[in-house]
Amino acid sequence: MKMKHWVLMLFVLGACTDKYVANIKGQATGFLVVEGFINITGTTSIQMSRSTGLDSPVLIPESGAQVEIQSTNGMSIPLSELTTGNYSDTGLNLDPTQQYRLHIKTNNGKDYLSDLSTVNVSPPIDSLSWTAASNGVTIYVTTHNPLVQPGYYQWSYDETWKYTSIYESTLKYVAGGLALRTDSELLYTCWRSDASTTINIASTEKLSSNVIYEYPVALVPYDNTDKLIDEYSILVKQTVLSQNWYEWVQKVQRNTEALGSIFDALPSETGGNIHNSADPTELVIGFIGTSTETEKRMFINRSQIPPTIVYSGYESCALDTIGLDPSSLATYFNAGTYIPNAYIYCMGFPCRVTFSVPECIDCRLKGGTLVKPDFWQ
Amino acid sequence: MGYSGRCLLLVILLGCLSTGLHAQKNAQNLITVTFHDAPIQELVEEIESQTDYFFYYDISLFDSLKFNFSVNREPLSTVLDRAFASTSFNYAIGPHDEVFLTKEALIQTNLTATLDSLKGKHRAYHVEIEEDQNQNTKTQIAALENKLYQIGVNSANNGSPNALITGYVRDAKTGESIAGASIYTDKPRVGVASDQYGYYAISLTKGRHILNIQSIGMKDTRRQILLSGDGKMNIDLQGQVMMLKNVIVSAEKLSNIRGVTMGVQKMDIKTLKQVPVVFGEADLLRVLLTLPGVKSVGEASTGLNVRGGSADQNLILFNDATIYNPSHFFGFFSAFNPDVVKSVELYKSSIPARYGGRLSSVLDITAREGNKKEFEGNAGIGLVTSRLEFEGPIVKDKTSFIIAGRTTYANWLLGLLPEQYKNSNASFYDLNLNVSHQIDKNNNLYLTAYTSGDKFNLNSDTTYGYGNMNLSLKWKHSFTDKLYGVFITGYDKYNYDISSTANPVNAFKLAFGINQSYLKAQFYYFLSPKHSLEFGLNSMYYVLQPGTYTPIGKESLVAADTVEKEQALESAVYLSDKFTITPQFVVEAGIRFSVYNYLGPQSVNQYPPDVPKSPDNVVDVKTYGANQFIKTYSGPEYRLSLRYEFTDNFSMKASYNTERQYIHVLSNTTAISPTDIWKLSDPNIVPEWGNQYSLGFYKNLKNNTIETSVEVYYKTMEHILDYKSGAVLLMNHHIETDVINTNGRAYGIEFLIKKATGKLNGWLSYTYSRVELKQADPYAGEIINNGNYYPSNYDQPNSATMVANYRVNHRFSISLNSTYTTGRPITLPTGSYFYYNSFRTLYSDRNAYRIPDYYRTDFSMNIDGNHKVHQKFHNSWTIGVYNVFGRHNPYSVYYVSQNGALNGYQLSIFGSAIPFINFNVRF
Repeated sequence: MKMKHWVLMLFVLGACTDKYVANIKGQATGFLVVEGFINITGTTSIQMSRSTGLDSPVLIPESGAQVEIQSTNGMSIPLSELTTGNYSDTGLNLDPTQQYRLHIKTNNGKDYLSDLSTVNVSPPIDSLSWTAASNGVTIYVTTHNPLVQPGYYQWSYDETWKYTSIYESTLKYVAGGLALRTDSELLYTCWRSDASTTINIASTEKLSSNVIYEYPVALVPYDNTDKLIDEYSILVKQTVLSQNWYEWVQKVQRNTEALGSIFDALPSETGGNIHNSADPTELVIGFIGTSTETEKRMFINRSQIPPTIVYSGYESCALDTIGLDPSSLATYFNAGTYIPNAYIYCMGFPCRVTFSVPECIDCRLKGGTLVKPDFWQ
Repeated sequence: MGYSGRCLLLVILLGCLSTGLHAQKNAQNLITVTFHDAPIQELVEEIESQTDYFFYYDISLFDSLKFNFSVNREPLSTVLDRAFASTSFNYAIGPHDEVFLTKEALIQTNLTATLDSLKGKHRAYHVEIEEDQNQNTKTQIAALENKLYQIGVNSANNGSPNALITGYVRDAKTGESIAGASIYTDKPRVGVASDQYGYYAISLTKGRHILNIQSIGMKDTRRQILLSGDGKMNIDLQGQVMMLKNVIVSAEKLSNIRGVTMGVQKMDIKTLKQVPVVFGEADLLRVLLTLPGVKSVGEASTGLNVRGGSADQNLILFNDATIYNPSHFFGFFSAFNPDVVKSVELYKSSIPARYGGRLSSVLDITAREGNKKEFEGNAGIGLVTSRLEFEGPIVKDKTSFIIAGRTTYANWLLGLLPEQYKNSNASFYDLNLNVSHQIDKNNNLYLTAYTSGDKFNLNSDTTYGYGNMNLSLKWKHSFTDKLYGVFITGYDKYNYDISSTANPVNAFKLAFGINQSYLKAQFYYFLSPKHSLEFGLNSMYYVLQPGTYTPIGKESLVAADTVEKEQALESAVYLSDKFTITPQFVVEAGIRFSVYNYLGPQSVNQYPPDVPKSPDNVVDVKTYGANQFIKTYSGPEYRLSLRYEFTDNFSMKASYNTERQYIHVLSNTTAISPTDIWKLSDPNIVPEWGNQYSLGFYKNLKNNTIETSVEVYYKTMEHILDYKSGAVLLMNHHIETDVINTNGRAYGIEFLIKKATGKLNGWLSYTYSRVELKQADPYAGEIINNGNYYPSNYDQPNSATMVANYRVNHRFSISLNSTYTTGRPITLPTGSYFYYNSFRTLYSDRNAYRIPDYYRTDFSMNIDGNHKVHQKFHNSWTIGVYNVFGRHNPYSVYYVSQNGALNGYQLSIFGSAIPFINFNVRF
């Protein structure tokens, strides 16, 4: 929040930002990157990749490694590579009194160990709440844990939102003519999901008890998004970190998100708690800790939001009409350039058809799916 | 006759007091001259050059008279009889070869006989000369300049060939003292400068001299003196208001050649006001940035980096009060109201022994004392601030005050913010009060009070506030003509707080504060013409509150936390001697011995030697009681400078000095930020130590109107505080675990060409300089850049500045200011990785890259209203454009993860041309 304030202040004073591309010599590529945490009750999912250059970042998954969870009582649980670079095990139920670490053997034969970590237990999320301001909806998380103080929290979230295209097409072009769509063929309503891309952390270090009250976990803007045009759902996932884990995440946040103010903290090196067993100087990026995860879901309906102008993304859409003669229909619909929308009736009979471009009719073109998620109310 | 009659009377009286009673003029003074339409000056000069006679006359009375005659080997009386035949002019020849020229009146020169009997009893009597205070016209000035001042009483018993003249240099119009005026004689070449109280002392051989007096912004003048013994003479200088055509010689034209102090830059408020700055209000810190060797990390910061030093290594003194945060609005404005500033001196190389406690420089800001003769005021309105100033005598010619305030109405700027910030506000103010009181001729009192405040609040979320408060009382006492002392006591305070009430559970207030009380005694002793000494002692008691964190409101769960208060005592004694070996070769050598005591009550973490200081390595916590000496650091600091004058306008200077610093800023931001904290040296944090060698050559050209100089320096700095990656500086109970000692080195060469006077004036400077740091201590816990030297945040090798001012006519002048610097070093990412659903940057070596170079040009016009002296209001306008070319000068470049992608940006503080307008009225 603080940084945004400074930036705003600057703009008022005539400040501006321009795109900048640095000419970096000798880019630092190929370092092992390990992300995830050991979840003792549920799914542990570890993503491994390699760092890349700065100019055109790409994700290079680290495939073919052997990854296992080790515990202080000698247990070891191998993780399997479900998708490329993603090593996981579902349905774990491990002893919370043990300490755990990750053992990695990459396919180039190098051996890595994370530092041992104790289990942090995430308390339930007490509530999710939200407020609407002129720029968007802010979502807050509230939790507490009377057993531990201080608490170091991290939240991530998955957003899912229902949206519609602007024209609800009832017609489809089939075999040179028009036919009514069945319910399953409708292109009007979609659901789309996204995962959080920012770091959300907070600690109760400065408080007298372990209470997080209305931490702003997400801001859903009105502008340039269709998230709030119908119904919106957010699943907030909470983990609890150890102090040094928290400090590492905070450092990553400072280095990568909280820059651009006039009082920037100077960036610092990002390492972690994973080390090459043979060469401790090798830089490995990532911090593997152990926690349980708790989560909570909340829905927000468009009708609950104050009637502010909400971006729809369909502002340039328009309908046109053509006659129903086969040649016209073929010209417009055969190649899929346009999609028929609905009949226009002349004296009780269809005489023309309205149509538009697919972007105004097929909601999937905005990235969503027609399949309603299981959790949807 | 009026005034001139009064002047003449004075001259007669002086003539009476002069003692030698040679009855008759020298018969050998025969004169051979030929005049064709010669004015009186030519006649006088010619006769004076051929004889021992010296003329006294009022030039204005003779301006229409032309001489046409010639004589061959005739005595003076014959020549003057010829000259004044058939005119109403008369002459009289005194016993000391004085010639008085008058119109109509005839002067009786033989009065002295009656006074002579008193002579023996008044040997020790010092004649004091107070000049007539209301001299304004040219003729009166000419009269002052042509008058012969008898100083001291000739004493047969006193065998010393020299005598000392002391006195004050003051502004004739306001009675304010003038600091830094140079007082010198041409033959022999002897010169001194007035100190900050306007006081000067010059030792000359007995006999006749012409004293030249010059000061920035004032008309040059001279005084003819006949020196018989020690005495006082106060000199009033006339302001240079309308002196467009008459500027003949430069003020202080020789000080750069003759001064012994190296690397000192002095500017008066007139110069400061000429340089265009953003928003148009004269800003002394911004103007200092145009000088060679002075840099800053960017436009949002007024933190000065002097010759590679960090911003906390500057001692900023405002009439002897230490200003800890010299900026408003988070660094956009300096905290000094231009209406109360008289002059600014920046010592960046040789630092006088009376100053200490900071490694890089001393910025000595002298405030005005106020008009001692009449009430006047100033008001100014600009885009962001307005100011009001009022001054005048409390007791005419004795006591004066000046009171001034500034405030901002920047809230309209915030009104341009998006709606959700409509509850935001920002404000700042500063207030000054100075009182100057002359108790008697040997005692002066000066009171300085200053307070400033800043408050900044965005949408009732987080409020930032900070303020300075300073109070100082100074007593200047002359013990004898040769010895005077200054005794200063005062109290300085700086504090800031941050509070937030947006979230009731987390509502907090964080406060930091530092205050210091001090006592200084400074003595100035003119031992002999060859030695002038300075000595003294000072002591400062610090109380530092590193942080208190408290809840706000009943719902707040914030746990109150306080970092233990720190106390320390810093004391020093010093002695320095300015030794004039020959008029050409002057050495100033000083030693300052400083002692620093870190005092209880305090709990101090103990760490074993040779392990990194970390919370895990604490072996013991020692607790000390109140005022217990916990740790003492002490050591000598050497100050040495010398000057050798090859010719009248070419000299060389060299200096060496060492400094110790016991209080440090802890910051992990590039710019000095309002949330930086200060930290006192303690057993775990050793004082900073630095030394500097410098050498310079100074040459004046074109009759001293153009000054040129080249200075080179090399300095080292030890135990500068740097921070570890991810350091926590606020509310840290074991701060020593988050900082590391760094060593640094800096070197550079500075070129300056300056033209101080004339229609076109200004300066041009170029600097090549480097500053590098090194952290290679394996026990520090973290080695930066593999222990190699790396450039510091403000290492900007090439830098060039041009400041030009052109006076088109009396009422209109234009100024242009151009600056170029190499971009400052920055730590850029060298790679990227994917984490938490976003590409993120990977950093490695610190400060391995640079932001793009900086180039900016500003333009301003000063338009004065008419110059009628007696009107009630004088107004002026300043109109200009900051960053004329609208260049997007980078303040920083950074990469940030946004919506999963990695974007690089260049941030410019002023991304367009910023026009400004200011209206000032003087009443």
